[in-house]
Amino acid sequence: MYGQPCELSANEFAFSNDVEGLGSDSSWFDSDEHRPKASPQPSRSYALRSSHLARLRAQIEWAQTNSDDEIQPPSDAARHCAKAFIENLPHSCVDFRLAISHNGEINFFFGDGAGMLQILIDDSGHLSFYGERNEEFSGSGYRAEEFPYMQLVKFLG
Amino acid sequence: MIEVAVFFRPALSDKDLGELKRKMEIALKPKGFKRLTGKGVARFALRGPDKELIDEVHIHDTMMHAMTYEYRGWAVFRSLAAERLAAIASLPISRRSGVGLAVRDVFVNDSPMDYENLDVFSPRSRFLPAYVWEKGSQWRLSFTSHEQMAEMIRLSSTLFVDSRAASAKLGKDVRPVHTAEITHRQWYSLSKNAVSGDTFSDENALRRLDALYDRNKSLVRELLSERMLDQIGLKE
Repeated sequence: MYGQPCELSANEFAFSNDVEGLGSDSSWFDSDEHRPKASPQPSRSYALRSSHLARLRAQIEWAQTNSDDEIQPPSDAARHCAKAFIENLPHSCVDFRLAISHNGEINFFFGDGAGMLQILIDDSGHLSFYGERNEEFSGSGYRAEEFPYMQLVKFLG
Repeated sequence: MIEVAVFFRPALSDKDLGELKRKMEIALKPKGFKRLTGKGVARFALRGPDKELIDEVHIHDTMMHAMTYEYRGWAVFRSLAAERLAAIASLPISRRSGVGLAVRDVFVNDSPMDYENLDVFSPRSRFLPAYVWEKGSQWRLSFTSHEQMAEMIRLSSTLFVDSRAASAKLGKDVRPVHTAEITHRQWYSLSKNAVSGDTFSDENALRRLDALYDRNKSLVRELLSERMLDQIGLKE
């Protein structure tokens, strides 16, 4: 259980190193030293990744609320796979478009025109992908953890 | 920001520290990390496509800690933590005297004049005493707790909440914002005379980190408003 709250004035900051009984092993850990201050401006890749995750949640919620004979929401397996896929994407690969099909498939589109790469997550929560630039980049039946992320970096160049 | 730490006891000698720095450099260089200067500490940093800071690893004589500024889910962070533990494998496991997890969440409001505590925080949270709601948008509070988990292991936690006016840079422009910053640090540590054995072996350390992560998630769920939990996907 946590102790009583301690109100801090603007120029004061208490660290638990000051609390009796704490070992010194953790003194570096329990202080703000050696860490940059939190930036109120998130980086572009962080903002993009967060916005994709928010959009994924919103689109799935919409599909669940509006499901009928024609609209099938993504399965739990597909939802988990899509979340893990977005989280695992390297920082340089977070610029994509997201779309959910009427049959519950989750699609990711990287680039456009002839060089577009499409990645699809099916009902069973597996990834398939196809794209062609100088060479073909394709595969199917991958779990999010198995997807060749480094090859994606190379493909997107 | 999310951070994992491993504590060393006794403190590393200069020779141990030098060896560890060398091994960490070998592990991190192929991943694009750069070695930074620092007195009494080895620092490695990874920057992203826009030069933003993504990851940092520091080795002090009593602690190795790895910080990730762009949280990408627990599974991704856990595998990074496992990689950092592997890089200190040359050090006897019995030298590890504790592990810790720190999570810092920052909620930014672009219209600081419109900010209300209820936008971010739950009125039902036991962590937020009455004065928070009376003070308006600028306040700070701090909690500390210690629990004896087993005969020789203690779990310590600190929580800092800082609600304040700030400024954010957007290109050349600087604009006023309001930030609500929550820093939750938790660490397991051995009592002073305890023998570590394999208490903090890689597998045990990761298991303990899982437990700390679950505790952090519970705390955040209690602290934040329903709307904010929904926005950041913690209602799933």
